[in-house]
Amino acid sequence: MMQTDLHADSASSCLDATLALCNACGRLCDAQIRLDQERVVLVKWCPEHGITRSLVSSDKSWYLRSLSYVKPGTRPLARAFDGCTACPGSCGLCPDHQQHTCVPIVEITGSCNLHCPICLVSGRVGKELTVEEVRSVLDHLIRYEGKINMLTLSGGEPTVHPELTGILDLCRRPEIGLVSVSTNGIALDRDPDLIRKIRDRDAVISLQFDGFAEEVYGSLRGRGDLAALKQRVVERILDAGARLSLTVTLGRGVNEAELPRILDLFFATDLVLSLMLQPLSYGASCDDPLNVLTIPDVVRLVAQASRGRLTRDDFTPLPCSHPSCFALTYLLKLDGGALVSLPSLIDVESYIDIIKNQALFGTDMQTLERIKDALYSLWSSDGMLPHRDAVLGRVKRLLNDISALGRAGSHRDLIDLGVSNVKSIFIHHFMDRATFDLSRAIKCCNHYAMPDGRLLPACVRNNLTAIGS
Amino acid sequence: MSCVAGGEPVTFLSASRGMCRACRRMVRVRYVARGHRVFLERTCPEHGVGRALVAESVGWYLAAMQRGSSSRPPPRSFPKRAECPHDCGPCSFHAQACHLPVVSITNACDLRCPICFTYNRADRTYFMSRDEFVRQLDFVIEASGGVDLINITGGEPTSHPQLFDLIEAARRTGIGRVTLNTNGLRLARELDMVERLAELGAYVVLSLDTLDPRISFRMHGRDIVAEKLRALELLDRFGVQTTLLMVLAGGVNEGELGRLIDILLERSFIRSLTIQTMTYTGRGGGTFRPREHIPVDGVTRRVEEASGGRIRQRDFLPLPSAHPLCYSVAYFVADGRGGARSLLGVLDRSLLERHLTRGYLLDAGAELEEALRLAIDRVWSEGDDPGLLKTMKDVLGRVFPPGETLDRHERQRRAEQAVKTVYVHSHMDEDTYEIGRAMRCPDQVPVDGEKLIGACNYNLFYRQNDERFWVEAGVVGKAEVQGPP
Repeated sequence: MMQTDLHADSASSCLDATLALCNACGRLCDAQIRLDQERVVLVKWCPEHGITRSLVSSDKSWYLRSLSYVKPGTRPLARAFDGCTACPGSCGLCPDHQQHTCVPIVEITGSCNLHCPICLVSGRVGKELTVEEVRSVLDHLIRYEGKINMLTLSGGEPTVHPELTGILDLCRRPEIGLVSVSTNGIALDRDPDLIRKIRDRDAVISLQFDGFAEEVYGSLRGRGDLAALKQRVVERILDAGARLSLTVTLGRGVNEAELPRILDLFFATDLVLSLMLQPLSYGASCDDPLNVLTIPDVVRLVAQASRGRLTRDDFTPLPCSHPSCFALTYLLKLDGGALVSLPSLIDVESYIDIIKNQALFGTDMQTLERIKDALYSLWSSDGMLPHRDAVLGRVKRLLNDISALGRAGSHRDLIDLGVSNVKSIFIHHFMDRATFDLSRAIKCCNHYAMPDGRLLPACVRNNLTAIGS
Repeated sequence: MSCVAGGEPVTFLSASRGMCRACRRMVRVRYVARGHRVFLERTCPEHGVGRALVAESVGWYLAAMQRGSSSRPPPRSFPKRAECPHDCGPCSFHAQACHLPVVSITNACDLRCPICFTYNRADRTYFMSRDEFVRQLDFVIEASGGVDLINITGGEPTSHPQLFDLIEAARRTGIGRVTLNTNGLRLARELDMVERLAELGAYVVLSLDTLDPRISFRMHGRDIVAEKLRALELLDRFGVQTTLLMVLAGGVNEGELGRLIDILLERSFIRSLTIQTMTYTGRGGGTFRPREHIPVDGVTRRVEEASGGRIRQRDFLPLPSAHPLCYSVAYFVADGRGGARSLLGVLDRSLLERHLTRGYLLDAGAELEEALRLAIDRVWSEGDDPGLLKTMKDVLGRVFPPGETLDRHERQRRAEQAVKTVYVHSHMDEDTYEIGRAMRCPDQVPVDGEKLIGACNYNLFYRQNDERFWVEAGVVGKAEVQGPP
């Protein structure tokens, strides 16, 4: 039996207890969250494999501050299960789950035209959903949630689904705000027409884009030639006037150096709506779980790489999920192309309250009124803020636009208005076996909508394969 | 059986394991904020959902939980062989060294308190022999690397025929101070005993829950107020350094807090007041009604109210060596006329926390001396509190006498002469048990000269399996505890 000492570092201290997975066998076991110098480390004990550890956060201050950003969860309208057994026993969702489904993911196929060494979802069956099955998944979702701000079609690789356009048509219903297609771009390179088809159905192309260098793709995707392909696809998407979101998997020692150019691309055009940065999640086997990228590392890297456009203070945890899962910033577009971050404009309490329970910036009248109020109250005490008039002008215009939509404005129109005025950068740290923390899973808002009607928190499905199947 | 029920906003905080009151099995629990209050909620597959208040203010809870307990690794621990609380030892997964060994030297007691939260068999009396006691101490010192304090308890330890032999045996290198828990009944009768305790330098922890005969009847089964007052008088007469130990039972004796705080601040022989929240377990507490859990921050709020603001909620800080739901502490310089000045107003909070990392007593070392000097300069330059200035200079002169070197325990003893301490201590019962608290427990019970078991683990899972203290399995929902699987 491996029996490392809990007190390997005498300066460490215990912050809390939770349940986590043994690094070696993935069994759910008792764990302590410990402060270890400047880091936060998860230490677990398994009856078979003894004590194992993983890095949860490289920045103690960020982690501790984020703990106070918790907000009440929102209850879904309905759930797949009425009763609960010990979590994650009745997962999908049961009444014990503490957050509704904010960003549902529908895996329309298990097939993929790539075999990435870092694939989170490898080993899933290649079966694809029929259009009818997708319809039923959407019906379930709408029954659970009423309306959905953002829906992700994923896989596998969703563009290999022969009926992708039919599925996109199906998604154009008033309850669904924005649809994104999560793709590696290979099919879009082969078939530029597909870009137009997606564009014409108002969907966002969420392109896996890890950087510009061949080595990066060689290491993360097993194919160095993807570097040129990705740049080609980005050009085609932008040329076609389709809306683009960039999803970057960020590995320590792999592609941190790509960030400046990635950010340049993000800032270059209004067609790039958002940037999603995902610290690499290592699945069941991580060679060095104490030496991985965590959210505060990514925040620091982004601030450094932004050429002065962003600071670390622009990022806050997303309060609706567990604070260790997401960090984000919203950037308001100003006339003339400048961007200004919302958290730099209004006080953090109001901001956290405004962004709670929505992973997408929704432009409902209420939210904007609150932003306007927060702006006024802050600005009345300090007249030195940058872009003051431009910001206020933009917010007023947004309010007018919403009024103009009036009652005729659909959920979808409002979301559209939101994404055309506000860009976002999200950092999403998916858990792997080493970092899995049941307390985070219970607050998850990022769910797979399963064909059987279950909604599985992404990291539960990815790490607890017995439940995910 | 929804855990998300009721109209208040519900904020999930964390998941862990705890116990079911009905079947005493280990079950899943979670900390959940409902409105402003924090609850520990459990779900037993068989007995459903249960809930207990663990913090009145989620703001306080979140701030306290961000501090982390400074953990001193135990010099000796055992390989962990089973899930907490099984095979408790402490094992290599226990997050805290033993700061306060708690030794039950007897199961005998001359009271049958309805609030009693331990298990003591009445049919057979057990007195720990001197040899066994020494063996336990040898082990404690070896396993802990030495302790500032040891607590002798029972049953009622003054009923032990060799009590003084035991106390003498505990006066040795590696043990800073002996504290003796007592209900005070025997002290009230036997002046000699008080005198002897004073000679031995033992500190007495006197249970004092109320000065109201009716409340005493409810809590102790009979009115013992007169005996308590007599015990206090004798302890005062012989200058025995005394801690008042109050069990605060929600809906029963909350109104008594003010009088006890007065005694603390006015009587010079009283060093501290420990307020233990009522623990609804054991032979009395398990069935005690009403069952109204008062959490640590609920106690400090009541203290502020009852003391008329002399002691404020913000004067308390979570004891850095324990879980914040288990202990809070506040230090005061008392003026002897019922007034108090919080040390947090004189010394820096982080400095106080740093000096508490060994446990319960301020570590009166060079850094504290320096901090006191700086604080004196500050108070002097502010010039608005000559009384405080004099008190602080007094403290400095006594604790760090010029040209004289005192050992650590003597310095500590002298430092305490000028300081009044309020501890708030919340034991866990079946409703509030959570392994995250158990894993950080610094109060440990030596068992058989080979184990140190966290006090609440011992009380909830082990004491009933110990035939010296309890009768046999199954009598009162015997806890499920086993060795390694």
